[in-house]
Amino acid sequence: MECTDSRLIIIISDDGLGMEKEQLDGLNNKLLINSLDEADTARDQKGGIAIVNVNSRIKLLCGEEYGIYIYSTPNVGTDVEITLPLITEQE
Amino acid sequence: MKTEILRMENVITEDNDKTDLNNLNLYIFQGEIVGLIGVNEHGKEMLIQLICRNTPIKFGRIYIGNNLVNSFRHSDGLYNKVYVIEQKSKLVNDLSVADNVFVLRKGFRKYRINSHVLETQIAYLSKELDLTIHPDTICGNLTEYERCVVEIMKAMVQGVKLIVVNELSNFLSANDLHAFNELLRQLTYKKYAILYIGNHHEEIFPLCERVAFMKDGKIIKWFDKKDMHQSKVLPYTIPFADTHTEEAKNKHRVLLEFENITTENMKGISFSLHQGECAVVYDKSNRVQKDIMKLYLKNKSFLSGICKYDGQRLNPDNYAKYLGKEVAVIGENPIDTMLFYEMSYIDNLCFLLDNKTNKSRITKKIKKSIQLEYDKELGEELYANDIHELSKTSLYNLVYYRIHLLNPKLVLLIQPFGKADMYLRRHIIHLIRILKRKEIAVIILAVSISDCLYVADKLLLLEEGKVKETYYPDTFSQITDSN
Repeated sequence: MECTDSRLIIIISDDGLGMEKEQLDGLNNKLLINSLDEADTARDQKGGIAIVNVNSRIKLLCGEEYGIYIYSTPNVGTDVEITLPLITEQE
Repeated sequence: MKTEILRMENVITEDNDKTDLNNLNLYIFQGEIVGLIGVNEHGKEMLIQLICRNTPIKFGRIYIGNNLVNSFRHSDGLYNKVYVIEQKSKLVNDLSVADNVFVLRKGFRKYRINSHVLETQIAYLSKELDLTIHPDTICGNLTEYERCVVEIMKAMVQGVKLIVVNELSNFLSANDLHAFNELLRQLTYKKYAILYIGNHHEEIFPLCERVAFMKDGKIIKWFDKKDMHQSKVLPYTIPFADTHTEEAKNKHRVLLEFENITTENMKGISFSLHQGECAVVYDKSNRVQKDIMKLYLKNKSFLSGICKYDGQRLNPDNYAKYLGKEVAVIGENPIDTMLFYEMSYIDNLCFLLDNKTNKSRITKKIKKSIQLEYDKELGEELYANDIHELSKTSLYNLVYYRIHLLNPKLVLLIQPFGKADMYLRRHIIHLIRILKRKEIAVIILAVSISDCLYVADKLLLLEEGKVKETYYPDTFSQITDSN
């Protein structure tokens, strides 16, 4: 976890199966925008709406500059980077 | 709590319908050295360009010191306070250090320059960095290391907070690189942020807090200090091992012998090189390598010692005439210096062949015959009329296959892996192996050894003009970082 005067950066890693490049690119492209439409269309598919949904909610609530980005390598693992605004008690 | 100096968010850029940066995320904190290793070259130039100047981007945002300076909505085209140190000097060679650091900068508006004030300021800066550089020194006389240090001073005077260093190991010797990296560490204590771009994790890991691997215009993996191990890097690298089992047949035949050779910087160097063998001459100071080049270029002769070439004993007066046709050189950055871009591929390939064949011109018939011979290895590129359109890999093919065609007995390679990304380095290794299989002996003059060991049959570690140690493949693992 990293903390700056305006952002909180949380990185969660696993050493699991990882993702293929095409799948990863597709997911990161969906995470670029804050539309909840993606979540609706993905609902018909088997599973997999949570990340896009959470990312969209972060962007809608906190701003476009926050959200989720994923780094992944097949058979090595995945790192999920979540960026949130830093809100101190006084605020 | 950390202070961000640079933040790039989801940056996408397009140049001539080609994506350069593809959803790139990068942030650098104050007082931090962040490493960047390009698995391939894709997007690297654009990244440096965008850090320096706010040119239009297709998507994303760029912040410098928490201020939004560039976004897909608006790009002002202004320059950011960032300094890039790279092979190309930004100093004016005919001016002094003081003039370069203080006078040639934005915002300097004095009509009378008080040299005493400049000298005092340089002295103050030198003291701050624990260095000794005389302010009156003309920049053209500086060594590469000193030039980089003066550029650091210039960056400090300009008030930049972020310094980008680009592929230092291509032009600094190992000793200079070590000293310069220490200087970069000092700068982080003064809250400067450094983006350290290079090609080798062995060089970058010891220096950096975080390291990013970049491929196809995006960051594919971040390494924290705790993850910086060889085993963790393996999935992000490509194998360099030789899959070809065929070896040169006459490896037992001695081609070149140096016995106690002494020059300006060599102090009694002895070694031998067999046909088809590859020796790496690793000299941290880079001085002996320069002497070897001078010997080849006939600018200087050796002072004492015995030099035997292909059984012939050469003396300082006659050694040059035995070289020439028998010895070839592939210089640093050969695709910039050894190719003629106005000539076709086949004409480039046949360049200097007339010397070898003693024919005044190479006829169409000979060229066709060469095309037929190399068609299997080189394919379509062999018939290219405009070599501008070729990839870097094809251009390297052209450089190395020209030597293959000339078939010298010995080839000198000067820093063959400089400026090459991981894929290109693997290809260069492949090309060197092809030369070796043709029984051409290879001497690599290197200031960095990491890639050389894949092709080396021996490594000569030089120190103070002498061979400190000779390593062979079974002892390469004993070469330590301190070496």
